[in-house]
Amino acid sequence: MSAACQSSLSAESDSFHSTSSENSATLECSIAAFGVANLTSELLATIRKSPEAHTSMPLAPSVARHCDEQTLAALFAVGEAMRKLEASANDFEAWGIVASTRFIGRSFFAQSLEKFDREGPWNTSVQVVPHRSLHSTSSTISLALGSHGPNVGVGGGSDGEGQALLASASLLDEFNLPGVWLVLAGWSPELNVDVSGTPTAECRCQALALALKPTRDVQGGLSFRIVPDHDAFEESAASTGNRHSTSWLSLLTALLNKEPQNLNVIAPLCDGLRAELVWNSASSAANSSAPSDHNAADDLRAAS
Amino acid sequence: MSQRSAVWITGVGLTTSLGHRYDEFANNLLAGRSGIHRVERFNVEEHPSQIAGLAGDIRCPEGDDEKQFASLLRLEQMAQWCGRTALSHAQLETHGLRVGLILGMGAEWMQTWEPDRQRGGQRLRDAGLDEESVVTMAQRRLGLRGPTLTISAACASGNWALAEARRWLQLGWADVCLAGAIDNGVSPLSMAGFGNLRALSRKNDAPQAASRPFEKNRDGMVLGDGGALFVLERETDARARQARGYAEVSGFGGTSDAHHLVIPCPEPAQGIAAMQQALRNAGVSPSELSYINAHATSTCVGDVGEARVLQAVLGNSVGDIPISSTKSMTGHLLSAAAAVEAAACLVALERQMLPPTINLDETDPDCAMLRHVPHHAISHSVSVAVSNSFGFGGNNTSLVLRAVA
Repeated sequence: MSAACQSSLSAESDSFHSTSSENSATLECSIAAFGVANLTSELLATIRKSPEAHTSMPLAPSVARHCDEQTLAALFAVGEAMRKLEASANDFEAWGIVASTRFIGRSFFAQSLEKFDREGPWNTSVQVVPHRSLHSTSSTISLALGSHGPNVGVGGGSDGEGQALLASASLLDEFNLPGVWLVLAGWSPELNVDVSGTPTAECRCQALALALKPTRDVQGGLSFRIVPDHDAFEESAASTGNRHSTSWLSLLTALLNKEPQNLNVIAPLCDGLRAELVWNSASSAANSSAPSDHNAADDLRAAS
Repeated sequence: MSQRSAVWITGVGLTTSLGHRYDEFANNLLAGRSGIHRVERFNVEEHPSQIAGLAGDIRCPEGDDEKQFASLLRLEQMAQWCGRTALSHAQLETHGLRVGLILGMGAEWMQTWEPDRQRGGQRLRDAGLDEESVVTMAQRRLGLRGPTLTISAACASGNWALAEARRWLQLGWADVCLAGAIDNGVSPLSMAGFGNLRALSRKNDAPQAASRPFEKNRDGMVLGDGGALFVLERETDARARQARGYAEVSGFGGTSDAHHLVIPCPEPAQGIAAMQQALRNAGVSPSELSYINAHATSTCVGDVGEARVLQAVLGNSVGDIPISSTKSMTGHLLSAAAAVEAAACLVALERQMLPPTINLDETDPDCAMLRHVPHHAISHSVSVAVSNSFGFGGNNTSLVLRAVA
């Protein structure tokens, strides 16, 4: 982490605010391990039935029964990463969790509204809010791992995944945590539903879980950085609004499944900040950010 | 600037059942008025709970296109009203600045799909129509440039938004932040879901007496809607432009229960840890606190759990530090609760008056160890205020706000 900390006044329109990028900090997090999920509805049903067997986390089936599909995929991806770390759920007691889902609960919510129309308020499920809110995924992971660090949901739409990178780097830095789970989840292709909430096409539920640690605790390996980019901010002054709706879930999943030693990716994250995914060589980079040939779907098929 | 430079709140924009401007909200809060009424916006006859603290029609900010504003969904209107009025309250011109925009929202898409469907829209069924989130829309309509974030920690979302904004300013990721939370949780489906959880008061015949935090005869919380956004700046910048500082965002703590997705942990260790973290972060001791705005929602398990947190953290000072729950007047604004309660703390700091817990006729014996502010506001010297917010998913947060010298 590098924070240059001298205030300076900008010559731009407002002379009172410090706007130069020399005054902005870069945050870097090591990616200690990652896990991926790419699940059909049948595989999701299998996880829902026996969550502990497929996630290595002691989550009660009574909770999994009500979880959103994106939460199940997120749990599976975290379980995959844990396996690479050769860790168990109780190794993450003090970790924080940042989870970004895309349009969580679309299908269940459509079903609930239809039911409400037919049957009125008294038969409305009490599970809508607890399991289909933006924080539901991070909270369920926190519950499953027994983590007492902070947990938050971020983003929520198609333009929100980059926000998870910002929030997880900030959380890891601010709270001096031993680690943060950064989890991205969504449907591919994006889910459309009919009047009854049934998906109109076959979709897979995808998730990526990154186990982030402070760089001081990991020698080399993969890391990502949030880097202030004042020049890009100045150059983009002509337009307004969010122009950075990168699918970080797809991008990172694709990149991490390649040879990580070749990685050096720079992408705009938002106005004034960019993300860099880099390989830092060091002899003990071992742990794990190596690509996985493990096929989650095979595992599940075997289990079912 | 440094990683720990002080960050001030220099403007507030809000919309609540107690008013749509900071001064109006402050006056009603200190007058002990209830904003809770029978819901008229939709048919509640079959709902177990039929009352709420509704913000009413959201006004179009001065200078904005009224026709366009009227076409927006209520959640989008809240973001635009609160954002525009907060910037105006701060008397801040944002051109050329990196303005971070952080919105606490727990159920953005549910609160988009349900009203869109009510007016014949297809967004719930067709994902292609959901291209722009509220935070992106608000950034575009307010003409801001800089990083954005939608964040949810359930009812603690507003505290998280303020904490993240402070961090972004300290890291130099933004020159100014607009941060807070909004919620449009009073909808047919939401009221039905919370009602069936048996979380809501059924005192439908006496709406203004229904929200009774810490009170022996409470029977659940009352929902509310609205929100509050704040302008945050580094102290050095605020001083340079001679901005008025309403408070310094001085400390924050956040933990998770890992106990249950809905029910607070009966053993409040993590609530205690969050509050202790916040005090440590602010560098204040419990005896230095002047006022605590409790999360207390008017549910038995939550109120008593928080009383135990306060007793453990405050120790010998537990009977000395005044505590109130402004949800007795506003209802529970869910994701936006913490933001509106941070605004209540600003009122206490600015007016040197403590907002009361109305309807506190007979204190629950399990909460009797606290120094309550029942029924009426009181004059009190306030230099450090704390706002506790806990939420579904076992989220515990505590925010420390300090008077600006």
